[in-house]
Amino acid sequence: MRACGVCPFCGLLCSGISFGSLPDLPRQSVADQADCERASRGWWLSQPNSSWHLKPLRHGRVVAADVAIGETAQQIADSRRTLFCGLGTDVAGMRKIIDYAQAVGGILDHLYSDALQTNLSLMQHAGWVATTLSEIRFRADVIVLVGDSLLDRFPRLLDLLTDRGEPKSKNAPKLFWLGTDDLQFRMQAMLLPHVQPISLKKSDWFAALTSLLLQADSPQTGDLDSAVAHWGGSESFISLTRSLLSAHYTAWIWSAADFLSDGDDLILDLLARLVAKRNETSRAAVLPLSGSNGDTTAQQVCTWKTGFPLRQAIRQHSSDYQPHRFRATDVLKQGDCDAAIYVSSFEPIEPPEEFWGVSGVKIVVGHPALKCATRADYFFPSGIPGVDHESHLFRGDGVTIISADRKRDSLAPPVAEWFGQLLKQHRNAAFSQSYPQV
Amino acid sequence: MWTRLRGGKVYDPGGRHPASVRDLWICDGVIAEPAQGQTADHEIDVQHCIVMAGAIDMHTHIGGGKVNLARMLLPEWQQPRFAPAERWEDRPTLGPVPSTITTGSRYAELGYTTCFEPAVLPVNARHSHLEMADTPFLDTGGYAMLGNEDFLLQCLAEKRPQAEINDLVAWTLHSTQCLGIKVVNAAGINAFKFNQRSLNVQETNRRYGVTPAEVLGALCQAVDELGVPHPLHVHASNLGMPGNIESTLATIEATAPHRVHLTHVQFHAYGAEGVHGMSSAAARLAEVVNANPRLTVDVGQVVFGQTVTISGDIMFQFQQRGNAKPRKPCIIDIELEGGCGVVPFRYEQKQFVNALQWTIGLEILLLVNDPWRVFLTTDHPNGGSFTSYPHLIALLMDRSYRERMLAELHPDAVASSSLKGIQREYSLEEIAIMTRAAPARILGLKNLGHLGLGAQADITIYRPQANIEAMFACPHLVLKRGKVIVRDGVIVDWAGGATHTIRPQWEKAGVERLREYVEQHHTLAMEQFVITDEELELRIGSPLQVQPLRHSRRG
Repeated sequence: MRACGVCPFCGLLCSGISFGSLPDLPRQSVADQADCERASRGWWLSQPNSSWHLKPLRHGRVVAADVAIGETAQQIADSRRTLFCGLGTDVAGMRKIIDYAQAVGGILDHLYSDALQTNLSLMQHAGWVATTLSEIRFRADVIVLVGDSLLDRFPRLLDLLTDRGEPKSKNAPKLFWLGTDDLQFRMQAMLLPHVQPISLKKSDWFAALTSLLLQADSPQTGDLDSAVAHWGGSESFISLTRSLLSAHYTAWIWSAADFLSDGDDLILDLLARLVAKRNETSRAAVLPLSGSNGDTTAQQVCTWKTGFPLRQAIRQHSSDYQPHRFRATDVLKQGDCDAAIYVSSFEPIEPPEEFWGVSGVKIVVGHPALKCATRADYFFPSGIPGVDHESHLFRGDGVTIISADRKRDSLAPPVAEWFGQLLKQHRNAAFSQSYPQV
Repeated sequence: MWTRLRGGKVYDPGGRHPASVRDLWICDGVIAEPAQGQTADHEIDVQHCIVMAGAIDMHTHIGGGKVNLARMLLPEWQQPRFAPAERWEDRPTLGPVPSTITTGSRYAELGYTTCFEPAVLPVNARHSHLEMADTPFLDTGGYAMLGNEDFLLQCLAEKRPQAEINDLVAWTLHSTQCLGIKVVNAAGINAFKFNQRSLNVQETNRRYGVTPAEVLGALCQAVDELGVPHPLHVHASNLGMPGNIESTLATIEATAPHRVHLTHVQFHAYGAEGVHGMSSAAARLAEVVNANPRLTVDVGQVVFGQTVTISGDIMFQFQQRGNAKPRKPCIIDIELEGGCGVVPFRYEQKQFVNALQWTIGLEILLLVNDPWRVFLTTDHPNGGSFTSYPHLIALLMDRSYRERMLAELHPDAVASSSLKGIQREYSLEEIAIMTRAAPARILGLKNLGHLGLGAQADITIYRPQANIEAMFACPHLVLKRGKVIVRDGVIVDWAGGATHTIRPQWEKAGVERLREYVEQHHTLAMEQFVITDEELELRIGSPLQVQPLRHSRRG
């Protein structure tokens, strides 16, 4: 089976991707035929096999859907506090999850919310000047990729932003990649001749970015070499500095998933300050990406439906927004919930081990290939967004909702369907609000 | 099922009826004529009450990326971080950009049943509709933003035929499922992306060599020739700058002879006189509006207190970043179409500029003679929250209340304002025009804003009170499609809304160049810009209502 369309497997949501899938072939054969390693991996994982669980399970045994829904709704209703985690789903799924959470109460957190929270904290602290993918493609004359795993998480990023396959034109942007010691090794494997690597130890990043900030504030091009040499900067870093000073539109792109260590938030803060400074005389912008698995979708839908982003607890018809308190793994470690629902519909990403320590019912809604399906108290198989059903998904830059097409006859219901049934069951079971009739 | 509203005093200027005591009959959610002998299945006694159509907010930022960005940016200014309530719709609203459910609930409680999001970037239209579909109680719609896309400016630079511009505009309305076209700082947002920091109406965008006047002219002509009911919705150049009345008047001149709607004109009616270098130009603007029937305006009234400004005008929002309170402005360049600037702001009544802005808004509302051509808005949340509407209506209807408020303001602003000398007080009939009948007429909503036969039975019923603000803040009943949803200010039943749109004609060949441009320069496929009817109704979750055009395409 071959398919072509929107790829749902990373935050770029590329259109026109060709999936060269032959389910009987080994993984590498699939990858060779595809446009993108990430797409081929997701598509390969989307191919059903005999180990898939395509029916609801209770303690590993097949159970009728209505029975599983009824029992699950009852146990959630009886719980003191439910954790909704993972949240790897599309807009429709997230809408229903919020509806259900608003009905039963609980804590909401996405699997990759550490990355989401890193970017959000940066914005909430001092704002930023940001941009989107097409703006960079059209306008940027200098593009700086920041962080080692950026192209692993978003493999076609450079294809979208530049015409990498065409001869280097006069108008092609200058490309830099600012990373750590591993960068050279990674780049050799990726064949990126037009990208200038800048490998810096993490401990040197503060000095490097401060140097750029000082240059942006008060350019001293004559002293640049010695200024950079002062903290051991490389030729390529000098080249970056000169390029930034003459650039008309600079784009800094990162995945916050690369900046989750202590102190990394200060690196991103320096980048945002650098961009703010450059905008006083020129144009520059950041493109803060996170980790994907539907993280931007979960964040956006949660925000408009509740008024607050992730992480939050919902109780007594109100949102308790405390991002540092309601981190899912911390909630699990501290035993601050007695029921948990884990959602992962894009790929079979297993829940964190702490999930299994929850005292009460443990429910998994997600990819039929999840190994944990038989370990959960209840498992509800879901279709893959943009594969088994049409889906609305937020692109990583946060301003565009892509409509991802269905690529085959659905093998399992969407996440939204399961949570819709749970909500219906909950309401039918006398927990619902009743309005007086006029 | 037949419902009779018995014995209310009906204010229905949209239905061309003089205010009178009469019964209203509703059948299947629509105002209907009962056959002789028809009995009511349900009767509601509204004797001694004031009955109006559900109110319409024609310019309120309630859905889309920039609204959600503001929510994320300012959790500390949202609803109390934790505010237990009996029901979701009962949550208090303290922040400027509440959740969709709170927004819909507060609007319904005030008797508003239809709202329009005025800044829908085509690339963000899906998001806007999703949020509006999740906003209960309200019929909604949007105005698609054009006038800063690199593609359009290139077309104008190449002097492409007007028919191509018309095709682009019509296609945009189709693909975004919007009701009208809005332009924000024509060519200025685009100029800012190329580091141009200001752009007057006759000045050229340096990249494309096109002036805002040319952009406005082409878009006005397209809207007229396509038969779009709502005239081009214009956010003029130089928003918020002292002396910007000259730009506003130049904008009016550039749009002649077409109909045009100037939005949040309070922010565009500043002179540069006086000791503070800023003065009211409300009288000059009102004089021009009064003399030109082709013009309509909404005000963007300022309300004192904390809010957040959210605008596509990143050229202006970037300039305002230093005034951000708290100091965390967000500026985003978006997808070769426009931008988004979110700047938190606090209006202080003891601050000269803010106090002057407050007086200018009211001056415009009171000096424009025709209530069919001036609309009460706060440009929510830019001037302040829509929840202030009862307060603002009271200011319009009660001169002594205005004067008590004036006494609290910065003395220099009061001294330089003509507000104190304005005698006018709005009547209930005029309020009904301004908040119901006129918005429906200017937007081309045939079945809303009036209580004539065939109108959607969105109805607000007030108990008369001496305290005007209290009366408008707490309607006795609000009906949505004939169903009571609010009783004495409390939500009592649930109702969804519909999305209002139009269907101007376009030629497929006319947007082929756009397709080529998208393929070359964008990172999205052309198909991603299109929201189909099925998608809107089934996946986004809002029924469609297609409103008629003024006429079939003429160019």
